[in-house]
Amino acid sequence: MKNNLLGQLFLVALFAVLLHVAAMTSALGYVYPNLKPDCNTCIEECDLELPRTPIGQTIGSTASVPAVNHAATNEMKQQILRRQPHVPYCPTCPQVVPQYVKPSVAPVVIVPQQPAVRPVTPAPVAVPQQPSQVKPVAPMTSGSKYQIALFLDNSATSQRLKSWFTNDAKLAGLKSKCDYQEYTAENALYKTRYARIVPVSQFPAVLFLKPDGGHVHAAGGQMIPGSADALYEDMREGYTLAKSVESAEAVHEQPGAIRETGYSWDAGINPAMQLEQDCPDGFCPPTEQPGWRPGQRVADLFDRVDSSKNAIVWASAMEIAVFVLLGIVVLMAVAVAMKKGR
Amino acid sequence: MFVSISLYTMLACSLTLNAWLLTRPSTRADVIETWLRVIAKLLGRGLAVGFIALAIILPGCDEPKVARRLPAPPPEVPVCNLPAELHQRNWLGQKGQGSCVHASLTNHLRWLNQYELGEWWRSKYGDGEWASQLRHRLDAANIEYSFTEKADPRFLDWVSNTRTGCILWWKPAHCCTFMGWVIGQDGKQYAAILDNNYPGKFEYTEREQFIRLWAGYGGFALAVHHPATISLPYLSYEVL
Repeated sequence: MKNNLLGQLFLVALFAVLLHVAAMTSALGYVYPNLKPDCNTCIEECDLELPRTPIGQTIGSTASVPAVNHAATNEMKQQILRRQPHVPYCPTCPQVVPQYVKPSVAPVVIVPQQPAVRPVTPAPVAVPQQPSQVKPVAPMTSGSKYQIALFLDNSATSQRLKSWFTNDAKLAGLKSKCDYQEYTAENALYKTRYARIVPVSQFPAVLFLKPDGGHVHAAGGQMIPGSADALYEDMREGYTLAKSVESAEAVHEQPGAIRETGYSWDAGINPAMQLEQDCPDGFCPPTEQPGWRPGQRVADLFDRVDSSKNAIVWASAMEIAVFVLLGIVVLMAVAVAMKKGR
Repeated sequence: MFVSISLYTMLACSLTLNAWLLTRPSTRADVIETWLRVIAKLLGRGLAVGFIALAIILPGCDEPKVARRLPAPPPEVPVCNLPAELHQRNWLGQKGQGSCVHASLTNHLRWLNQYELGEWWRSKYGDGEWASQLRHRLDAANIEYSFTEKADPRFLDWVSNTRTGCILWWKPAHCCTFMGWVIGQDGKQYAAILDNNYPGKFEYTEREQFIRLWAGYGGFALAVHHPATISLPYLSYEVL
């Protein structure tokens, strides 16, 4: 009897233990269906390659700011909202919005008797509130380059035009000081952004623009001159005209900021910082330089490129012709007076 | 133009008359009379026409042009205004992971008019990514770039000023494309973000809040070295 009682107690205990183990296993499977390491946070366990030596170009060497979540810096980023089938990008295809399809077989849900682990409710993500009452009205830009854009086709003129900006000293020099782009009729940005402004029928075309897109000079098709020098002079003339209308209304902007050749990130970083350099692209408006005196001509975009212009007499062809003719007339009148006076 | 023609005509007549007088013996009174006679003869015999033509051909007709400024259209907002048709949506890679970093970089390259490079990158890489491996892959492809890992707002100022934009860590375990700063109607500065999970629109966050949150997401941003596509052209002046 005693043995039977012990045996029964043993069986009950064994059954309880087995039931408990089964409950634990079921509970774990219910709360954490994927027991494999989460590669979003456990990079080492995923045995992924992680170069230790930072490579690439670093801007500055500012001391680390405690506010930066460095753990998240090298966290893997993937973040996809919906699990949807891969839809290859096809700009000419009709837009298809992939639909999430629920699985046809409902997963088996095990209700644990004694959940061993309390499910952790993730902390709410700090999502910034969208400024629904705010409408963006203007960009924040200061100090961008002039722009040169070529719109090219397969014609010989296109090839010649393109080669000018590579081989001609003046145009290549001007190009180096501007943002330069080439577009063809098949270019994605051209088709979506510039096709109605510069139609294919106008190809080849060259645009010389201010940083905000304001036209300085434009030529297309038959209006493209026959030589690189002529095109350069046309662009120069357009630049002069554009400057002339700007100076009539523009307010002189010289903040007096010291031009820096690089970026200094030595100061502590905080969200209220503002970029103070006025010309990060390497080309600044003319400022007073050592040796500059009032009245001295200030160098501008074209002066730096055209190094061959060293006129002794700052006059046009018309003015030079007038001077020459006047000189001849005076000399001959003097000769007549001297001859008749004898 | 008429003044210059008259001036050159007078100069040419004077030259001719003086040359003629040099060859003829005469008194001073005769000189004046001769001047008047010759001028009348020249004008009467139409020789002035030839001098007028010479006066036109010799100096050219370059007169200063006068231009008038034309009003500018409203500026593009944001400065990196990638057309909606070119917004790349996030996709699942071969490992079943989201490819937000590569989608953001594709958007960034498309704005820089590097569409073929973006397509090559999109076909070559997918799934999750992290900062150091991204830089390693860019180095391997000989793509020049700049980056920050310190949530430095001046980096974003720079990419906004140069209209290039950048990719950055934004939202939990996510990467988006920064399209520049804009100014709202309240006068505050906002960051314009293109989220590859929501292509076709831009999201805006106030600047200082954006910087704080960006730091919390890792503070990483990266911009490829290449000029942005040109601004939308408009006629800024006309010649009168």
